[in-house]
Amino acid sequence: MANEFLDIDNYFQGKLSAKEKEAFENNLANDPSLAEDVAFYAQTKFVQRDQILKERHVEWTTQSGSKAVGVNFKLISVGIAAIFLVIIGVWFFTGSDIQQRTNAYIKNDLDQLTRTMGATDDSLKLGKDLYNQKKYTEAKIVFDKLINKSPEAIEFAGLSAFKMNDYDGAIKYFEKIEQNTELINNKGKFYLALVKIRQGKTEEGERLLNEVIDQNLGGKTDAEKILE
Amino acid sequence: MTFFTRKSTDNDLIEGIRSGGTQRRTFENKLYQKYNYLIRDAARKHKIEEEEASIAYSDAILTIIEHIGSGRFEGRSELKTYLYQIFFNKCVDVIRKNATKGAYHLSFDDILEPIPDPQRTVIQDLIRKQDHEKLRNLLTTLGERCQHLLNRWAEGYSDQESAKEFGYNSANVAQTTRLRCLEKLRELYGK
Repeated sequence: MANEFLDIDNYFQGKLSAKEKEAFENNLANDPSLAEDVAFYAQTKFVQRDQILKERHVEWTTQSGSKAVGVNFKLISVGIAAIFLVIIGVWFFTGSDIQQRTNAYIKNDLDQLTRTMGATDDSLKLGKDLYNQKKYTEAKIVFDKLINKSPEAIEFAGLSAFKMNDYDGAIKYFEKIEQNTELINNKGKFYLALVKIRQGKTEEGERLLNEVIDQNLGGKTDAEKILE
Repeated sequence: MTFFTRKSTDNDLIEGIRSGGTQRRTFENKLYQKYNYLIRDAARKHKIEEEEASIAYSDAILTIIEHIGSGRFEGRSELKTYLYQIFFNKCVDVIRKNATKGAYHLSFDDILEPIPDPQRTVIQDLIRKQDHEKLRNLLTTLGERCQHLLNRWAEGYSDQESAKEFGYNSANVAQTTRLRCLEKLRELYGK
């Protein structure tokens, strides 16, 4: 029996004759079932390719050969940090007290991942190192690979997204943590509160911080300091 | 000994990638390193973070590797010019993503390139509606050989190379096996 993907594969590999190619494209325009098959074929390649990109990117950027990037990155980091400080400064003088304390917490307490792990996990350590070097994109790629193995990787992936100002992305991770009933020190709701405050949704953030305190959840002490 | 000390020419890199086998990965890494100074230039020129330019560059290199392996890169232009064009487009994707405050991710365009519009738009919409996370998880449940074959395919290895690597009699056998794996995956996805 001919494989349902054979024509599709031959088309994408450029193996069809001009006439066959034209017939295939005509079929594609008129046959929804063929379009579904092509979409699945392409989606599979897309998902695989996405994973390969993540892995190779980390491999390449952590190689010693990428010094040209590293050196320059330091200089740019200084510039970005300076701009960031100015923005933070302006924010401090214009934001509410809660916003100010939240920003200070994010800046001072979420800058480094220092938590010691129960088990040694090289990949998790690599991700933490990248995070601490403020290479949040790379760090997130590493953590993403580990999210099925470690709940902490979800937390760190969320924090990486948060640090990249990808608030919607961060929320997805933090909601996942919040729903994890196995975590003893679950800070999902606490982080969600921080994101909301950073998004300017201060009332919602405040409500969530109060819930963290009332329900004795992870981040309770910090929530109390932010709300004091 | 001179060979080991001189910098690889573009022809060395292209031939090294095309020849496949264990050397391929080495030449891929050399290709990445040879032009990675473009990252800094692109970050400055396009006013994007260097980190963003860096991942766009990795994406561009993977695309080039695939094009070299599949023969889509025919050598009509210099490798650097070809890379620059693809990298430029990836940087434009970054700028677009920044405008919508999204994170950098792959574009469907590379994969769907042979398909003309308007069919391409229809396929893109269908892909967007699919469950990528589910598919990603299902891929890990396939047998090891299936996972490898599909991985090699996504990396741009030809069926000929896969046949050599996995000990199949011909490229056709490697293709048929790979497509059976795809069918199996489809079956699992539909459940």
